[in-house]
Amino acid sequence: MSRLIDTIREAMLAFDQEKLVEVTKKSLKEGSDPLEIINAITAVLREMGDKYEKGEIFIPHLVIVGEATKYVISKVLEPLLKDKMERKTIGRVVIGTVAGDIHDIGKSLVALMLFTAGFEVIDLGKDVPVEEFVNAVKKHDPDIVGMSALITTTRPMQREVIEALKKHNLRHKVMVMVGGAPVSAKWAEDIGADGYAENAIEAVNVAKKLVGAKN
Amino acid sequence: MNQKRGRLEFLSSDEIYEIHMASMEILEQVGVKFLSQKALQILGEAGAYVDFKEETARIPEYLIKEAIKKTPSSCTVFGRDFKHKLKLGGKQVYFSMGGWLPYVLDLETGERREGTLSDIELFFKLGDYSENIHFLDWAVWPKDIPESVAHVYGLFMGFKNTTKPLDGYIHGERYTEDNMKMASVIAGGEEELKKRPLLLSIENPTSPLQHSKEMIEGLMVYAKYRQPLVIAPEAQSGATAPATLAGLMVQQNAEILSGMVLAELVSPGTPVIYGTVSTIADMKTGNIALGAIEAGLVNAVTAQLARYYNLPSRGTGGTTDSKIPDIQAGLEKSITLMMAALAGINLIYSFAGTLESTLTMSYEQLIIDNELAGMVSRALKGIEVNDETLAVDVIKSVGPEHHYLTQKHTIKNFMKEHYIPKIINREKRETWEKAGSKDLREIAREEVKRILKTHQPEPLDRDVEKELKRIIEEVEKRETQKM
Repeated sequence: MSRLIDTIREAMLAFDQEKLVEVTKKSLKEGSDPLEIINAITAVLREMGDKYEKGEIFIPHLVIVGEATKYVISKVLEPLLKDKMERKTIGRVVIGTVAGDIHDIGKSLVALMLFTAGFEVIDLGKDVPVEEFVNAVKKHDPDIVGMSALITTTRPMQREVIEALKKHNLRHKVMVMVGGAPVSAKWAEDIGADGYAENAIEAVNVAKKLVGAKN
Repeated sequence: MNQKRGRLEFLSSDEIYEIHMASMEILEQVGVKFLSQKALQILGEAGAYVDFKEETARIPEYLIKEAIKKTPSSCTVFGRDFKHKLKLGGKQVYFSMGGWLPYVLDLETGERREGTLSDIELFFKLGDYSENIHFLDWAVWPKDIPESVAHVYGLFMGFKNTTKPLDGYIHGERYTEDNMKMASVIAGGEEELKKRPLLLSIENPTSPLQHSKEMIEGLMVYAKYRQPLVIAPEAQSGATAPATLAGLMVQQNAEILSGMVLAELVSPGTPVIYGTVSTIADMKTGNIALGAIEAGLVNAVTAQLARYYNLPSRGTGGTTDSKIPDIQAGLEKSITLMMAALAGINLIYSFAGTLESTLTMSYEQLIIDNELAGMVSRALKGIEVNDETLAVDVIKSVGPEHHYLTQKHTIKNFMKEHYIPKIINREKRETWEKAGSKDLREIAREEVKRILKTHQPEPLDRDVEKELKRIIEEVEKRETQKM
């Protein structure tokens, strides 16, 4: 295990998706268990989180490694697991940018950070209509719904989604998190959301707290 | 691309020539006062018109031209670790910590008090750590030890606590010799010291148009040991120089060039650096105003004149008249540093840590100024244009709608292209509030404490340290006998 984690760490710190794929495939060929590799990746991601906190690495590093590990886990490793539930996740999140708003990047970053932190993430994309959020909650039964709004004029859509969840009697089944430049803790409170974070890193902490509070 | 270069020019080459010609007229017709018979004799023998009673030397243009020819167009000053070497000349820009200030803002109380030897040590440690500060002056003048030994204790603290290049002492022949003796120990002998200069010092002509006895004597010792010598008048427009900045430049130029003639006569080829501490006198208070925007202009034109004579330059920048690290300090320091740097002053001193027109040092300000120097260094690097930086391939591959965060091009380039701040706060409001809503001074104070707790400068060789201590004892003995 310790040798495997060293190999994985080296590949991840090269900030190169192809390299990580190559090393992962080689480890599999040499007999490593896919779940063990996932655990090694998760451990290195945690180390990288610490490095980021210390200012040793930066957002692009986290994002590149996030994308690479997401690819390796979902495309290379998970298909090999006998039971999909073998990969332990800490919660399920449905996430999207609200209707009328095509700002995708911030939301995608949050989705990626949540994934690398161990959440299962269903990303609805951008400009997501109210009813699509509602349907996704019905279909996926998530622990958390996350909504992003980057424009002051699209911000009220976050409230509309919460109201729609109430109308469909789903609000008590799910936690709601909101974010985006014009959003604040005060706004989150005003519209009756359960969580708010200023950035993608903080969003992971808030989400973890929410599922902890729920479980 | 990693070259830090200034390129700002305020005057046309015709205007620079006019300043030169006006200075020649002053040097030939009025001359400069040298308060040293020895210096006057040397100048007289070389061809200057000397009046020993008036202690003045009128210097013809050909002597100036000969001196310029003998002066190196660049010079290198080393730290005790030779990896720290500053090549002064051209458009290169380096930053220096402030030095010899009488007061310091106490880190704990925030009150102004007199400087101590312990302050010198702590400032050297912080300066050693600060990656954007390349050269270290002695921060404060230590009031807790006898004046007559401050020059050896101060330099010892420097050699002990940093591997970066240092300022040396120049007030009087004997004291300057003491410093040279110590530097020779570090260099491994006098000849080695001449080859790899470790000390740089400054001769301040006393404007208008005179050189003091102590400074001349110090200058001659520096010339003898071939340590780079800055000649830098502190002319104040309206008080000790004309109210017009062009007139100040004419007078300052005559003061610098006359000092250079003497240095080159004493030891041809000695490195002389074209310097300035000049600015305006504040006409409301009569005080010197080093934070004035005019100081920025004077430095910009000084850099241009230095290049005209093909000499290295040293000037001020990042100076302020404020008493504390506040908004005025940020404003004046940013604007004066930016001007001096963009104009290409090779070594910008009186800078990091200084407040109050260089009367008071501040620990927090030093850390803030390290950040400022980092930002200005980034500005000096400018914007590089080539295939890689034009990024056409990556713009094509990302296309509309997507983002650049996951591009290899981003990882490869962002740290080269962006200055990454150490203490500047770019968090969003709630994160900042959660961390205590601290302002920059408070953050800088915490950083000072952290550095002083953790940073260990590279230790001095034991035998070298012992030898330096022996020289200090010798000087102490000599100075107490004198009393």
